[in-house]
Amino acid sequence: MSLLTCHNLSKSYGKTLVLNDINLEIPSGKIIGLLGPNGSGKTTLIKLINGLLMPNSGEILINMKPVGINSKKVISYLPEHSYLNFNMKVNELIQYFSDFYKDFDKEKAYQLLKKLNINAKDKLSAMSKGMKEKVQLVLVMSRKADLYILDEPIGGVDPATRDYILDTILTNFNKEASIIISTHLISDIEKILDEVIFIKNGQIYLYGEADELRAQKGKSIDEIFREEFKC
Amino acid sequence: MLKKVLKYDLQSMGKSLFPLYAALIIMAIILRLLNLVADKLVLIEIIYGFMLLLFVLLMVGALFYTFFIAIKRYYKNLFSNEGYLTHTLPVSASSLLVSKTISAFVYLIATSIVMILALMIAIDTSQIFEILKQGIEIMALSMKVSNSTIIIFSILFIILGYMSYVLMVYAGISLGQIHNNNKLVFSVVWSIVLYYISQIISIVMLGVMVVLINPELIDMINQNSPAPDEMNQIIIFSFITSLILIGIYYIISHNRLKHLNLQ
Amino acid sequence: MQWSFNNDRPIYIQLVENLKLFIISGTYKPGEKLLSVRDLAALAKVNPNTMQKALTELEELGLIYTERTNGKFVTLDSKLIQKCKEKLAKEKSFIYLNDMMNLGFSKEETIKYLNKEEK
Repeated sequence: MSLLTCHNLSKSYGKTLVLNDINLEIPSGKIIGLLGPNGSGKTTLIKLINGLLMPNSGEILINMKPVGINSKKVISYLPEHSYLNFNMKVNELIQYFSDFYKDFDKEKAYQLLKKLNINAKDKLSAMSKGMKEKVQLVLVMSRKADLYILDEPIGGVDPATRDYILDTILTNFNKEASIIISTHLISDIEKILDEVIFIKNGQIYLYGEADELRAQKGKSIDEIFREEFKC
Repeated sequence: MLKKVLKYDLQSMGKSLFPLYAALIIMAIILRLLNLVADKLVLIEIIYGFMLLLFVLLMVGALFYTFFIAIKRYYKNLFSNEGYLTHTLPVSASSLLVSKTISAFVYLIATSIVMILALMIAIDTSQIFEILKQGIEIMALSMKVSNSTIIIFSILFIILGYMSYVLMVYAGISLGQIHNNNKLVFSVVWSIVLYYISQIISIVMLGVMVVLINPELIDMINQNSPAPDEMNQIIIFSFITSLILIGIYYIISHNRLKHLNLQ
Repeated sequence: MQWSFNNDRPIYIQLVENLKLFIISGTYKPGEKLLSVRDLAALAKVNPNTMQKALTELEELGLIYTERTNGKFVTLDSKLIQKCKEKLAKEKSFIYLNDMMNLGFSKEETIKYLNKEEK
């Protein structure tokens, strides 16, 4: 059974068509790269799946059900910018997440924070941008969701933080769930991907297994991407 | 889930409003103490005058500030970056909206109560209450109802007024989100548009009532001589108008929350 | 020993190569129990699915075996390990000789070079 299905999905902002007739079926148990240059429609697709935008036409099903309270229960979403209230302390945020998400594992969150040497009594506003991003990732990965959607999780972070993020994603990945990672920084991330989706001008350009593509073309995903998207 | 949403809305607004309440009460106490010794020293009298001015300003500002905090919470929690989290919680649009409405209501009442308390602490209010009481009695007599009816209706009137303004701005902000750019500007524009529409609706409703229910009303308004029955009708009618407006605002906001456009 | 990859070739094939090398070189001894798929994947910093695929391949080659409840173990068949080792040695030698030939050295000259190389 497919975990996420998109049927003839289209979205425009005013007259600009951002997503054009997207069809997708994503199974469980995979790490999937949603790859495309800036402005290709990655974030729009992600927002539609999360119910933050409404499609102009087409439908999205998660576990065969439409986007709504039930889909929100099983999707853990990391947006590309911060979405936390900076006036809250880390432990308040943990309480907030565990109040609303039944699948949130408090202990795991505290464990991950401890590794980062983050004091749970600190207010978010007192933290650096990088720290805030890590807290956000910890909160998102401490859920036992069916689908994790991470929008540009490694955009604009230093190499050490990037390694930490990739490690956290890998060690928290389980067979029952899938992870969609959107990014344009492919070489940093391709090693951990099962499957890749290339998205170009609002359309799915290619969807395949990462290792198969490498074998077929004798090139890295990054190189294949660069060739396909040459200006 | 409503309970949990409400808990965080109340908490968050409380963080901004409790300092205001503390300031009002502390200032009221200082005023009372200064008053006791004011006539003994010119300097203290000057300080007292200054403090009194500040107190009045704070009192005037308190309700506006409460409105502002309620509206800010609505905008920030639902339509700023924070909205990305709020709207990916497994919570229905109506829970979010009802919680925002209740929390605004709770704090507007709380602010009003604190204001009255502060006033009672700051100055000798027995005279004010005496005047108020006389006013109520005169109204009760002229409208042929009991004193308590007047009090209850006045309070209801104030609350409905509060809430219709809060919900009007909520709806205005919600409508502002339809636009793909300048959402904040359009939120203000839509709030103003809704204000004028509500004025028009009120007038139309009045007209409808005059024509359908009691043609004599128009004479009364012209002659400016309130008769008890007509007065009651007008009051009940304006209640109904407020309720209808609140209903319309709620439906608009709810509809927008169900069709998000977070960009 | 370190895990090493590049992104140009399928990751699972490179994992198979890495693991083979660990077994041949004795980093993983015959009969030794392997870490779980998850832990191995974490060590190599790759996707557990890919690691699973590589281990399946090694199992088909007979270099590891599964005990149903206990996990995966390195084969006790030292002959098979030896055979793998020789095959790899042959491959490496072939590549080296080929490279030297391209530089214009004969086999004998190449051997001389090798003897001169101190280690």
